[in-house]
Amino acid sequence: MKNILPIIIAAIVGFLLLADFFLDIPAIKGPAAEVQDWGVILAAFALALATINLIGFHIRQIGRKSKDRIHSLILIVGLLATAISGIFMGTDSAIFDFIFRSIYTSLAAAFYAMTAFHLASASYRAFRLKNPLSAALIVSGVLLMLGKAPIGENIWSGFPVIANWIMEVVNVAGSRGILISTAIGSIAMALRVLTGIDRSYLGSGSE
Amino acid sequence: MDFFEKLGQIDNRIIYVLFILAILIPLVTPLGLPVSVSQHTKQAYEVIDSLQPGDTVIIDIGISYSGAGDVLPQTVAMLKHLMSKDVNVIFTGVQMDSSKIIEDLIKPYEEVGKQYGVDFCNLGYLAGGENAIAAYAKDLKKAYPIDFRGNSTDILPILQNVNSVKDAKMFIFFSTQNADMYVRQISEYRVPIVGGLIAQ
Repeated sequence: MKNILPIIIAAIVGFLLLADFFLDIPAIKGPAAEVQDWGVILAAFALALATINLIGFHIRQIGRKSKDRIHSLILIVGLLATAISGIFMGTDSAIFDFIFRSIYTSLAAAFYAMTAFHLASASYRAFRLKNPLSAALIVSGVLLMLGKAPIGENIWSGFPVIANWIMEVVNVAGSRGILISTAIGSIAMALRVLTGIDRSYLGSGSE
Repeated sequence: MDFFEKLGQIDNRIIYVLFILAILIPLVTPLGLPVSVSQHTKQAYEVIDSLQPGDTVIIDIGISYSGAGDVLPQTVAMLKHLMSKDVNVIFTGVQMDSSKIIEDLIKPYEEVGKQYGVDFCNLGYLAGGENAIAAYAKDLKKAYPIDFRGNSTDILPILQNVNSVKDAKMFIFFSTQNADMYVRQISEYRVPIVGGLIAQ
């Protein structure tokens, strides 16, 4: 019985938003907009909840004297320093600005840039000529790189044309196939949730 | 083991060194290769060039600082084009870094006399991802009662005639994630959509 109410709420909200998206019924526009605003509030609340959960987890890690507790301590200090400086001194304050620009921004960019090395290594391993399919991958990959990089156009003006054809015909055809099958799967999944067949979001599994 | 097998088992560190060299050499001694402009970029330029002074566009900054090196330059270039045409810009954001990035983008224009609240405004970050896009697309002022600087959106002159995405001349987004959610939520309003994405 305790599961019935959440299922009814999920079904009403889901069908309301679906109807608002697909049908032009003025009477449901207001309630649908209201529900979407609740979604924004819930998302903001979930962020706050996640932060509290994160702090709690890392305090427990420190309490247990885990071997990685120094990382937990750095995380808590960093999180609190950023939050306190931003909330009490304002996002224009020198301290918040320093944390944001000199630490967060630099680290974020550095970590993202490091993935380029893994990409280069992974590409090198993936581009192995083993069968006709891997040959197609190598040829299309090389043509794309030559077509998208300035050096390719300087070697031969046809490279960008071929690269665009691969991207707009071959790639789009493949992507659309994947997208359509994913969408069909999502529709089936959504219907299971909205009709209460799939109740895993309640933590009780399917019934 | 033949030559190609040996080549396939080359140590990662050698690949990394070659990669560093491939970055460093053009950085130290630029090759000076001309950069071609793609057809999509030309189309985006032309559609923005067709806007008239006083038109209002909405730009969603879905950029995180990790991917800013990739997406931010195109944002700066497009904003420069919009400002040169005296187009009004309403900034929204669905990434946590959005608010600060928008402040950085508009600062140079405030310094040369463009007015906050009139020529542009920063509505800031709205939590919820795709749901946030759907919410502000439908009703900007309801989704954003105040802007990032704490002003009530009811009193901002730039928002006097813009209540939803359909009141804007164009919707532009820059994202370090994907384009799908923007297209899904904005296309029903029948406004031109222009997007700039991270290379993936």
